[in-house]
Amino acid sequence: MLAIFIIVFIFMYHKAQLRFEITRQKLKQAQLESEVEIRQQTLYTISRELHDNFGQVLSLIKLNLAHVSKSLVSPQQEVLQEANDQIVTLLNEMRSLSHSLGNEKFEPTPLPVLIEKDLKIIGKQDGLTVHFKSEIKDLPQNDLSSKILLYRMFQELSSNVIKHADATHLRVNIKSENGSVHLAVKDNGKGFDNTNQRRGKGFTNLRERCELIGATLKVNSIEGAGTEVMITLPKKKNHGKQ
Amino acid sequence: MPTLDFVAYMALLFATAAYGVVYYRRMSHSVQLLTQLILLTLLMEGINFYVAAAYHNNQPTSHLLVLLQIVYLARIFRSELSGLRQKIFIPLSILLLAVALYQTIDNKMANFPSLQLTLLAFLVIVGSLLSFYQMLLHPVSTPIFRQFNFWFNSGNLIFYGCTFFVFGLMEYMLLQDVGDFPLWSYNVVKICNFLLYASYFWALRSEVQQYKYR
Repeated sequence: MLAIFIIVFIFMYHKAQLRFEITRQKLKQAQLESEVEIRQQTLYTISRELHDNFGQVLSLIKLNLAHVSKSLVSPQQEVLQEANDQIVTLLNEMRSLSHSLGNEKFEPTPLPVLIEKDLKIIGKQDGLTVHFKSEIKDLPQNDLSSKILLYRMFQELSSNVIKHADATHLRVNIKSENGSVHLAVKDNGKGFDNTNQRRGKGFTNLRERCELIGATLKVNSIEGAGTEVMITLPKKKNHGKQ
Repeated sequence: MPTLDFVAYMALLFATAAYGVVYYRRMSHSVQLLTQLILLTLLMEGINFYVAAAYHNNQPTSHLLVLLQIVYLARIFRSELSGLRQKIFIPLSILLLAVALYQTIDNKMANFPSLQLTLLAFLVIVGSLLSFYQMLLHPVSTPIFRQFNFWFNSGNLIFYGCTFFVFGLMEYMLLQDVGDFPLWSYNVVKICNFLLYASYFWALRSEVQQYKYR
């Protein structure tokens, strides 16, 4: 009788544990979602601030410099012209950054187009050749959250390649298989040890973002032979938050 | 001369107590109390054995051991339980301790402390059931077989449940006057006693293992 009671208790406890785990997962998911929302909102605020405030101030400085340069003669005028050119470059860079950080571009622009635009900028870097291939025109269900998160993850991965990989080739592929979307970012850089704790944390962040949209992350890296990161977004009735 | 059963029982008690002492600092308050109880039980069983050999009656020390067990087990459950379950358990344990104490003072100390043992068994069964209920209400991620409470409560339920049953059977046999108690009833209590301290050992081990992951 006592043994039966204990066995029944074990089964009941397992059920309670399962319910607890589901609740905990939901809470974690909600927490991650709010974190992403806050992060996204912050990026949007910075983007607006860059465009509206800093951009305006720089334009004003540019106008003032142009005004002052009229009353000067060479060589001072040439120095001011140089400063003016630098401000124009800075303004363009800032507009590009503001555009990259903002949210408004996401809704109408398909994911492959967003990635391709970034890759064109990355490709201008010396010593890095980029290859891009996409089999899809956009995400199947036009899921905005998935699109934003996949794009941000691509940005983080490509930024890692530029900063740490010492690669000469960066290859990005997007393909679709049975409704699932695969995003692969591959480089021929120095690779890393998969067990490295510091890198592990970076990939933990990526994994958390993947969890949010129900995607999976696979990392293959060999020291001296490059790294391939594959993100798979499965076909789902309802993945992520719209 | 001690029997083989007694030596094995004392060895198990000693191993459990020694394990508890070695990892004492890694334990929570209630598990430290359990270690203290096992140490006291080891000591008292040794004294019981000596007194029985020297004076042919160790019931007075048995009375003391049962009272100590009531106090310690009540304190452990009080630490482990929370909310309404603790509010139910505290007055119950005080009441049962008072009755047991009164019985010890009022009755002859030379008699077997059967009523006190029954009260202890009742208290521990209630405490274990409340603790099991609390586990169901507030589950944790740790697998059940690695939880202190599971082993502690399971051991208690098996031993004290069997003790309750055997005492009830003895009472019935006394009333019916059917002769000597069957040998198996003693053996059941002995086996359950082994199981109790084995489960206490595993409970302490689970607590120490959990400490590593905290």
